[in-house]
Amino acid sequence: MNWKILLGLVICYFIYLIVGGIIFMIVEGNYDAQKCEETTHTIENIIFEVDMNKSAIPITSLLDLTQKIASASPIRRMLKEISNAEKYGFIFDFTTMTSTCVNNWHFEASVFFAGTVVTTIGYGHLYPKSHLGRAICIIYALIGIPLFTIMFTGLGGKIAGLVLKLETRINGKATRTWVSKVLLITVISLMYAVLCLLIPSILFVSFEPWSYEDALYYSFISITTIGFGDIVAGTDPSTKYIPIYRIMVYFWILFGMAFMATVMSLISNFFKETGKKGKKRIQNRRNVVPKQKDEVDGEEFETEAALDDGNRTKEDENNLYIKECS
Amino acid sequence: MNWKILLGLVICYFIYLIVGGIIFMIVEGNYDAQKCEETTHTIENIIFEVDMNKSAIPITSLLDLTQEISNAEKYGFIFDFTTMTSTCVNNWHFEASVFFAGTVVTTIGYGHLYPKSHLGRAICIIYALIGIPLFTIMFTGLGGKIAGLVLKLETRINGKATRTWVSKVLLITVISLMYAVLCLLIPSILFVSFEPWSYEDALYYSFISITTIGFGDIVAGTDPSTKYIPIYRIMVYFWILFGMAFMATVMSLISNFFKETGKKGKKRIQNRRNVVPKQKDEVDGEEFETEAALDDGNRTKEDENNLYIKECS
Repeated sequence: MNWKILLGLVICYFIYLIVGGIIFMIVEGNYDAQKCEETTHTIENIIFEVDMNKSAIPITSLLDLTQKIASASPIRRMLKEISNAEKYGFIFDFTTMTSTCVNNWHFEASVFFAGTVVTTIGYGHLYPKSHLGRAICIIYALIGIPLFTIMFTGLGGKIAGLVLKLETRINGKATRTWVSKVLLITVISLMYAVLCLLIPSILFVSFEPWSYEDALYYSFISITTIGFGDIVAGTDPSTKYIPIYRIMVYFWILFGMAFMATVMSLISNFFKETGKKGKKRIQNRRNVVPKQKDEVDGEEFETEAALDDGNRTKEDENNLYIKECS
Repeated sequence: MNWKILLGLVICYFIYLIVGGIIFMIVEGNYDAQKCEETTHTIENIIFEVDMNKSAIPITSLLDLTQEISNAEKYGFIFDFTTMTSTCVNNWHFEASVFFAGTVVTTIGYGHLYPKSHLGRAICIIYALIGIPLFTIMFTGLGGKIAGLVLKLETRINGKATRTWVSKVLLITVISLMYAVLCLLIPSILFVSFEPWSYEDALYYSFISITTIGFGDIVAGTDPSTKYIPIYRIMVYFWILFGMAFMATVMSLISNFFKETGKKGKKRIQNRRNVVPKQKDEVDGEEFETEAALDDGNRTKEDENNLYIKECS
């Protein structure tokens, strides 16, 4: 996969997110607004039942009502309604006894939601509730997840190729010893932790009302795509976020997952080489030395010295190409 | 990867889930119970402030009350307004904790349960660092075996050693349909009988889980008014494992065929020397006993290598 195709895929990915954001913003935004409106009427009806001239809700009246009506007392009904309607953006102010409907599906939030789908992080702070929205979500995922996976594994493969080239230039020797492989994996994993977890967490602390531990925890849970949703970037109601912040978060997720794919690719590549069958395969392999600077599976290898050692053939280069597997 | 290693990994996986469940049950269960206890005292203080002789709740106190209740719900705090008493429910019972451990290592991460204590979060991170690779190696290995079986079966049915473009597309389509039926349509029918869901809910839940998106708006085994039999939860675990393995199978076949039919793939196949294993050797864990399939000159050790699904994320 050459850099042009990769860039094209990255651009496609961001366009796909924006298109998805617009679709969900319209479909789910309307659905939630409608549901919130319904709840507003329901709550108004309940309040109407209660004698609001007194600035308090009498418990005896509640108990009377529970004896007369099978359903719950007005207060309990009201609280239940409020609780159920929170996901539609319904907010009730007990001091003024009035409600508002907040639009959770504004553009940035909808695009971010689309991102949680295609990355499979799936925080769940926002999710489709309408039948139409769910159906669209499924189709959106069926297209978007493979698109995203091909892109980030392709990116991860390029990074792995660069890492190996750099290591060969530094190391000099064409053959890698067991020790140097472990060292390489360790160094790359530490770089990964620093670049994708430790440093972004510092940035999160400045943009979000989080402690550094919160930010680290959030970074880890997101990059692994576990995505509990207990903490989500860009969702604090009392914080003003600049647009560039959200864009940085997208790139961080993309880069973090690509880098994770790089680490996994290197580990599995070395694991295969050092395994019993791998050693046997290397012994049995004929020398294949590309005579020209050919593109092998999209990875251009310009250092012919690295290829001359007899231990690395086209198959090794193929192994660097990370295959999309799930 | 032979079947013995795979079975060993599956057993390891379930042991790992159980151990994780026990750890989280203790750590997070205690933390939540402690937090719920604190809220109980806070609520009692608020109620005590209210002049109960007037038998009415001032609105401002109601506001405090509802806010405390809302904040403490995640700790298992439940308040009954009729009796004005509270209870603390343990969300981290054994089955729920094991299920939580499952949401971590599969990366589904529903979020219906999540660690709130510092210790619990630290343990969760370490648990994920070990468990996610363990689970991924296992389900991709399983997916690779299934892919190998599928290709062997297809070769026997098809007869011809070379696969045409049409037969590849047909194979992918058939396998994808089987995947949809086995992992989405049929399990959804079972979900409808075990859960208070509609069939559409069940389908939606199945898809969101198997893709590991896992919003958490719907989660199996969490309906408070349903009694679940133990075998049900075990079935859910196997379904998730099988569903993800089968997804890996489909992806492996697609990427395998994609590589073969791509421009470079065709060039590679042309340039390849014939390598025919003379004995029934185990190539990367995939035992290929049908030598006819290997004789066509178009499939070499590299093609067999491609069937071995490399763990990539």
